[in-house]
Amino acid sequence: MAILKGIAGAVAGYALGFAVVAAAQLAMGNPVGGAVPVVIGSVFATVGWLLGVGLWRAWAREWFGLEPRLDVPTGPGRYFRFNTDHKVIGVQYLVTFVIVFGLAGLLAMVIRWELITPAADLGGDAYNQVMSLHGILMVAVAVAAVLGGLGNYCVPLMIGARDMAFPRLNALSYWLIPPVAVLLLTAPFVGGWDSGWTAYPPLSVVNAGGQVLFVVAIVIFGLSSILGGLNAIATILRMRAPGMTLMRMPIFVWSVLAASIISLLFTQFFAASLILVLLDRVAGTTFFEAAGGGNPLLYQHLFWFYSHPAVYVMILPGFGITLEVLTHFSRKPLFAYKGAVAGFLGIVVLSGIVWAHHMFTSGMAHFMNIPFMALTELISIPTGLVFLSALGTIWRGRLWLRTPMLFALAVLFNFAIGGVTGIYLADVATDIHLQDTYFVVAHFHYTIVGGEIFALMAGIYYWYPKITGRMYREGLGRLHAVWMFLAFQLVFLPLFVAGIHGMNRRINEYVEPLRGYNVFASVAAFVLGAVFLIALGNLVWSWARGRVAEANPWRATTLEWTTSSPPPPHNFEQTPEVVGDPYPYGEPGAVHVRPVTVPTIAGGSE
Amino acid sequence: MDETQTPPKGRPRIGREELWAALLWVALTAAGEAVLWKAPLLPERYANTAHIVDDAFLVLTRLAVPVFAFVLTVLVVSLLRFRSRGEPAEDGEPIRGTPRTIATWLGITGGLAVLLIFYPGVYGILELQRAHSAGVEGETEPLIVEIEAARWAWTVTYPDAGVTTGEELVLPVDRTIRFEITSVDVLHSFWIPAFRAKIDAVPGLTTVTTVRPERTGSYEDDPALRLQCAELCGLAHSTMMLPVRVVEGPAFDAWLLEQGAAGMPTCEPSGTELRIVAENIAFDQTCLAVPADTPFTIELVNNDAGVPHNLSIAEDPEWTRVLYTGETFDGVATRTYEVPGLPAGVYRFRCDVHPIPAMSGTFVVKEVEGS
Repeated sequence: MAILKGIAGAVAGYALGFAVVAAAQLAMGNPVGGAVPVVIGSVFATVGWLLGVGLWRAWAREWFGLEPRLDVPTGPGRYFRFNTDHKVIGVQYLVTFVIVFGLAGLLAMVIRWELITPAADLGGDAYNQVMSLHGILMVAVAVAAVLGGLGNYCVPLMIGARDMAFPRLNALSYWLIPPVAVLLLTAPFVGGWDSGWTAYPPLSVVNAGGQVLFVVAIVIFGLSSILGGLNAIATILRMRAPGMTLMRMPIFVWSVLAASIISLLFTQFFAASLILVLLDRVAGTTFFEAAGGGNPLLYQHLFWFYSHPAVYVMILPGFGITLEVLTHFSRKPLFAYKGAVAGFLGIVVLSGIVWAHHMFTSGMAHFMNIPFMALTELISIPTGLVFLSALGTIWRGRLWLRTPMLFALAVLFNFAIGGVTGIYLADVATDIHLQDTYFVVAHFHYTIVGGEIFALMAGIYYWYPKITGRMYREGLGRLHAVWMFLAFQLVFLPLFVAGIHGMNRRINEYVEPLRGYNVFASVAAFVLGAVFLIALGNLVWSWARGRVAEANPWRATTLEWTTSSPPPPHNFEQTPEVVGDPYPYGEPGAVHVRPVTVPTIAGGSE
Repeated sequence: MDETQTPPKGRPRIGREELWAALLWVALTAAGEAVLWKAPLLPERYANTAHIVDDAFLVLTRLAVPVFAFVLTVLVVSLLRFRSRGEPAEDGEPIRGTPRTIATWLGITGGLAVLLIFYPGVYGILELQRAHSAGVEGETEPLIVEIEAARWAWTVTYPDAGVTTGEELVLPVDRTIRFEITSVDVLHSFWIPAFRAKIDAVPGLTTVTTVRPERTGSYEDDPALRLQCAELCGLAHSTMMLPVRVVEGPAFDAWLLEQGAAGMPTCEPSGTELRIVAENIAFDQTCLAVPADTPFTIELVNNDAGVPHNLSIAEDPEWTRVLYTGETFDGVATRTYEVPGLPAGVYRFRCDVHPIPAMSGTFVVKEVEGS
């Protein structure tokens, strides 16, 4: 119902926005149409959608002196409406982005299918659109699936809070996502856009009209990220249970805090750079047009000023999940906890001052090469601390090789490759050859997929019993982990070599000697794609029919495992009291949370 | 694995597993370095810049081997020795690491990062700058080649010769070439994989890269010899490519002539007895021509009283590959040089005493029908 109202609101908003602009165009004697009414229509449609889907009912009414209506429904219906429960929102994010991941994965299959032969099978324009859509959808998954999904679900539970600091803002952040998806997916019907997820001008100023929808979508998505980051920071700093000092926080919470700081500080630069592109397109400005006194390089500086930190928005929570899972499944305290925290914060600081390493071949002034190379290579130091923590944790542990652990161990292997190959791209001499080749493609797939997405899988399996109250099928989970790990290596290792040997990015035709690598990678990619069918089957089937999970199937020590699976709407029957380190393994008598002596019956505290 | 007593918290300890790990790490590192010794990691190199890039690549790979081997070792040994069958009945040792562990680790990783920054990092940048500054001995000016990118084609202009082409990029071997690159519409990127040279083509900006090809070759033999657009530029980005051909200097000049080089005189051979007059520090001809592989004579008439002149022939404008040097003599006098046959090609002649434009010219050696 709420969604139908939202759609009605969106249609009405679009009509209103379009009509206002059209009226203005008529009044000024200009032809009606073009990009402006579409842009304004899309913005109004987003507002209409939000109001219809529940913002009016739950929030905006009180701006007009009316009582807001915040009902707390139960049953599956609660996922399809404006709901302020962080657990519901976490599941909304997770399911939404699993669907987006599936779509973007299908596009990846199209890309690999096109690249089996050196000749063009799809047209150049169709290919560029497929590649661009794959890129931005996967970037959205990488930015929001872990933070918005697992971050939302787990952080309040892990710090002993009843909800996020700003529950309605949290719901707003989620309900901004569907318009983003709709705008990106309708772009192909107005010519699509062919400038990749990076949208460099002048191309993004002169290409097809789908680019406009891309700009609006990303600005909305950026708003969602900023609000989400703000909310997570406020929650972590202000909502912790008694005794939960910063240094007693589970490491995943630290990683969400670090990533949220980056989200809050940098996302607006992406939105700003795209708004400048939009103005160049529709308002006749010349920010990026050389003939009008603009400079195309300006965009790249603005864009990477966000988009490099963004890769840490992606990977930091991935590191957090990995360390979290490694410590519980090694049954050891997290090794060098303070070192890992320092590593996260070091990455946050450095992330903002390395952006121009994406621009060594851009034509920017040469004097910038040495400082940006040096700063970039310094990131290996805080990243090294994360590895110290991870490797020290599994060493001499009691490794329990359940599905989450297999994925977490795979992250270490994959990110070692992803990190080491990053040095080649930070080094100016080697980057000159490797920039814009498949070496870069393989590198960032190793870091983002091999690092973050493998960690996302670890997190999904790890918290699955907590979220759904049921256990997945362990055998199928392990099959997923091993299969995905092996197939992933087979797809992306040959692509490093293809890049070194002259395969540039974003092409649908290539020279004959590169055929072997591509055939190999494509076949492996289809094998990799197939495993997600098994995983999806396992996760969906188990949600309905799986064995009922206990409160703490992993015998883990952190707070989310002290409440029922799934937790009650208010999370904890009584406010937990934290008395020690989150990972008191092997230390007899030490506990993270004071044991609850009098169990109470769930429910009824609203 | 059975611990009879718990060591003090956080204290590192050397046990059997640590020794196994050390051995495995050394073995994996040695194996990796050994493979690198012979592995053909990189495509063929056709220019000076390629050596600098590839040297940096190899240094980084050599340093990457022990780092990756370390992670792999910890993973492998942990999986083999610390795996629990089923749910672990007891916890692991609560080793949390001491500040000293972290400090040691920071020292090692920090040292490695600083090493990387200076070598191959800064070192490579300086090497590339040296290569780009074209300080090759005996060479005065680099050959300027202008590259204009437009969707979706490359246009190559040799401004000194007045030649413009969009068919292929032909370059002389062993000459420093300065590419001046721009774009008329969107961003493109100039990339020749065989040279390891890449720089974007930016509207409103002229970007420059300098290379010195060291080997002859062509796209037909090695597809890494191509000028490939490496920055997404829309519809036909994939096929925005120009074949590259590196040829000997004379063949390059011959090609320029074929393309109708303006300002570069040309002439046809007519016999094997040439005559040229030097007067007022100038030759009376700007072009000489003889049949290929046939000995010939040049009669040099020096009409400048008391002024020395001669005539020499070379392959390249820097006179590093001289084919023939005639004897220098004062005027007024006449000498006849006997020159052995030369292979077909376009060469240059000049007076070595006065290597000025007025005393330089084109020396065409051509296959002649029936000769």
